Amino acid sequence: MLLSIQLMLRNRAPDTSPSSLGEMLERSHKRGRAEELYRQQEILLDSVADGICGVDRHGLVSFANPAAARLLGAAASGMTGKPVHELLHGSAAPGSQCGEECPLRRAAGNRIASTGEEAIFRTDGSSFPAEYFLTPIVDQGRFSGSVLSFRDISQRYALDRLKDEFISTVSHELRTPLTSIRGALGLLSSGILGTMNDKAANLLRIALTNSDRLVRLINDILDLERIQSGRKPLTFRPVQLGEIVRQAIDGMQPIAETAGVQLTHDTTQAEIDADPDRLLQVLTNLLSNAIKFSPSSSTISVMLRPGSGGVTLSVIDQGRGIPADKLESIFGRFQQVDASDSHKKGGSGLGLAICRTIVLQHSGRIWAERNPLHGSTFRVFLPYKPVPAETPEGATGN
Amino acid sequence: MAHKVLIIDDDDDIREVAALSLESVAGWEVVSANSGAQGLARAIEHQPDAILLDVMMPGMDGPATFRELRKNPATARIPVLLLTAKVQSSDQKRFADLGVDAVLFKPFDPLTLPKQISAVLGWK
Repeated sequence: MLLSIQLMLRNRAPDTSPSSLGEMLERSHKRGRAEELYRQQEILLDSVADGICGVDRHGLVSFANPAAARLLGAAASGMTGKPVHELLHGSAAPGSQCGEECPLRRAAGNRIASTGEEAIFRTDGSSFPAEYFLTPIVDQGRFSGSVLSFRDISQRYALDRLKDEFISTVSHELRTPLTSIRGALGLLSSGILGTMNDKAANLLRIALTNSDRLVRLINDILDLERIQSGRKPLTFRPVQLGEIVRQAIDGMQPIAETAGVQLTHDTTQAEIDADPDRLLQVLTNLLSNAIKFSPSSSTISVMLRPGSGGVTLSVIDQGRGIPADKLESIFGRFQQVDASDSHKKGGSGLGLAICRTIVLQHSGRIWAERNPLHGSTFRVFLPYKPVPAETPEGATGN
Repeated sequence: MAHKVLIIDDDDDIREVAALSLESVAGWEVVSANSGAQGLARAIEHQPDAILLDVMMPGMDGPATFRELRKNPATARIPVLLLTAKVQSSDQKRFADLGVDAVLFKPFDPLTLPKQISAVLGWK
């Protein structure tokens, strides 16, 4: 009996029907593929230098990669189950703790995307500057949690500090000898210390003009670097553009009179959000250029044209005009229409680069056009409400 | 009106140019010092109407000199104007926080330096 059963079992054929085999193979293939993907994902998360944490719907950490554990000085297992805000700011000393306005606290609590730079505290209470990204995960319309990624940016801050110190030192070292040069030349040139012959007076005038040019160049280089790096942050508020235009024209009036050039403006009113001091700088630069390149008895007009998204400001001159192939390049650093302009007209070649940088920071555009008959028109488009620009390197805040 | 101004700057040339500017353009009397320590002594001795103070000096720098001037009753009331080539906004904030009467920048125009000083101090 037992032998019969054994024989029966031995001789029983396996179920090799095509459909079940195929299903088995498919299941096996899918399982293998899923395991492979899981392994790849694990390798990736273990390998990245940025800290990455999964956060569940309740704001609790569900996962932390080795980099997150290393950056926070904690064991990855000890991080799961903790509220994500407490993980990043919970170890701060009593006097250093953040308040309700903490962007990380607000983002984690309200399931909103947030990115910025914040101090993050390790478990031992020490902190480091970090750039973070908190991204909510919405799966088929349902919020299912968030992903937090962050990186230590201490090195970037250190580099910015070094750069700042370098610029401050260079600026000081260049200005100091220029002070004596400019001062001595100014006193001699004034005649207050005695008269001199015409040739000597002319040589003095040349030396004085060029030392002034050197001062302007140093100022412009520093200005451009500060604006571009974000170390000269803009302060936006509602501004009457017409008022800025009037201020700029009033400021340039003496120079315009000396050049025999008339400055006019229209009476259009327009209000935008802007940094008034920086806008004044742009207008003053544009007017200064227009005056420099306009013949005597000509007119420079400033017009405002409000549109649906913003205002277009135009500075129209009757000067020599700009060749078509230079209309874009003049906004580059140290670019002039004519190479001899920097010598004859005294410009640093940075004015338009500074204008463009400021206008871009207002989410605007600046460009130049050739007038049909003669002269040029510089146009600046400024939106009513600038879109906040990406935080420049070294600047802090969301 | 003739005023007396003390110039404290470690740079010989800048001291000379600034002194010439104030003497020749404005007709003021000028006393000079080449360091913060010397400046303190000369301020006590000469009791100037104003002090033009450089920032970057070896030993006692401008801000340290200013604090000493304010501590000493003999010099505490003398107006102090910083004259500096440090023009970064972070520097300017630092100077404003010091409590000096004004900050003037190098390079300066020697023909208008006396006017700038007079404008700040309300001199005619």
